[in-house]
Amino acid sequence: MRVTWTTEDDVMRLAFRLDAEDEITGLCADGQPLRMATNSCRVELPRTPGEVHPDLRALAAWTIVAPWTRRTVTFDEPISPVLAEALADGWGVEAGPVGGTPRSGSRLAVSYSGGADSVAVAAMLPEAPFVHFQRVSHPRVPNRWTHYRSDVLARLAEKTGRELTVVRSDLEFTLAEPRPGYPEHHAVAAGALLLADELDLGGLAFGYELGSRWLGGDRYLLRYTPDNPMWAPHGAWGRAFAAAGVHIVLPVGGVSEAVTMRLALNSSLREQVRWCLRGVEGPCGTCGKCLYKELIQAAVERRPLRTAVGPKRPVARKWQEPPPYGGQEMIEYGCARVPGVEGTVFGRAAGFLGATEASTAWLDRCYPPAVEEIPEPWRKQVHDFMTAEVGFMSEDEARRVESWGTTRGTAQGTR
Amino acid sequence: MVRLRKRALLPAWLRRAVLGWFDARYISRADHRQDIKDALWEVQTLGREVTALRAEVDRLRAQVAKATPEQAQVRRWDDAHRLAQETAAAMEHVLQNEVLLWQAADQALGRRGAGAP
Repeated sequence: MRVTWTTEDDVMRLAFRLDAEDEITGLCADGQPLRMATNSCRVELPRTPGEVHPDLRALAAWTIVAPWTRRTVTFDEPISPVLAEALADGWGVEAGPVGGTPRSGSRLAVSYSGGADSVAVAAMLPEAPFVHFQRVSHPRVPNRWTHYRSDVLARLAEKTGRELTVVRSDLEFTLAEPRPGYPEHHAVAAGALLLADELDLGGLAFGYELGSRWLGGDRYLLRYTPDNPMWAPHGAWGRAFAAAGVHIVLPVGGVSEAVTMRLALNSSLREQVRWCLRGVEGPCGTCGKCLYKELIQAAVERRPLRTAVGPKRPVARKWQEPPPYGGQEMIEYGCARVPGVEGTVFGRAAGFLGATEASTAWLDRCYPPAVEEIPEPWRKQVHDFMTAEVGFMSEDEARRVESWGTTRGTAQGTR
Repeated sequence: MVRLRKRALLPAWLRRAVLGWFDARYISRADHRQDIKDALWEVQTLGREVTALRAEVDRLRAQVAKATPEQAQVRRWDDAHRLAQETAAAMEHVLQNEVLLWQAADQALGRRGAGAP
């Protein structure tokens, strides 16, 4: 793979060309097969960037082209030996040209989406500036996903009143299948990386929570993943980001979505929380995300489920089938706590899972190793917050994390 | 026996006065008749109103049926939608081919640059 950035005022354009051994089908770090749509994209920055360190340019490009790179990646400027080594160790690719010195920075920014998890992070780090990624259409790829209201989310981010940088990009349209989206989960940080020198960033905080970091959630393995390649500090991506002087920080990596939901709804940003990508005036209430988050919110607020979604709707279909489910720990948590869940679309799932409040109580506390792996400059702040607001898991409870997907009643490590 | 004696003891004028007072507290037969007539009239009015509303609903239904697009128009829209989807999918293939063409071009150039035929 050969990548080239060109800068035109405040727009940085990325073009990439396949080497002989590369193909337009590839794999995301989480194992999902991906098909490339096109080989160019752009990142619109709020102002014309000054000199961007070659490692930052390279890593930003790598978050986009990694799935389709087989053996070598050639950047348009020499990268530091540290980054080249991280790419070689993490992906077995030869990265170059090599030369120059690594960079470092000191501030921590929040990669802010506006969902409950990143609002929880924002509440934990009241001083940290936000960088928000806003999807825009690609000039070469027809946008068949106009129901995705990235403009609404960007407006909500502005209403938080926090120091905010909105980065607009069409990089998600480089992905054709399964649908437009980040080629690697880390591509959401492409803009933050390009701005890292300007913002003096030494770390970037993401809203990835316990399920994503430790339980192999979403479309991933669904079992305990201490060596998670996306989010572990010693994983391929963790090392690559560290090499570029922007450490991955997961302030809520030790707590479940129930805790992030509670933190978000109790925070001063409560009015701006929005996990739904479709709604305009409020969450649409009919998409799968809304249904899933409603279960968690109802559980946290100890009230019956409020949804118009019936069991026949496509978004509810997977809950009529037996587990495993992505985010299963939260389904168990919700089913154990929502009054009258038997009569809802989660009724069958509740029957399959047989979870109780006692069996899901561990999800109300913080998994201590998640705090220990936070880079030193920010560890104490997160530790103090967790001590004051959440509390830590006992050894028995921590074992629930560490046996997730390997014992009866959980996902059995299947997809 | 006690009751009988008590009644006998009540003077006739007082009994009349008491009974008259009781009667005044209840509605007379004539009033009842009038009430029933009023209720009947109201039911008939409501019946007429329901009939009128039903006619109105039928009229509006007919209007809605008229407002729904014709089959031909619906077919055209469906066709446009299908075409948009297919064009987008075809475009995707063209773009993918472009990527592959560049790959081939670069390879050919590279080989030439390296002195290969």
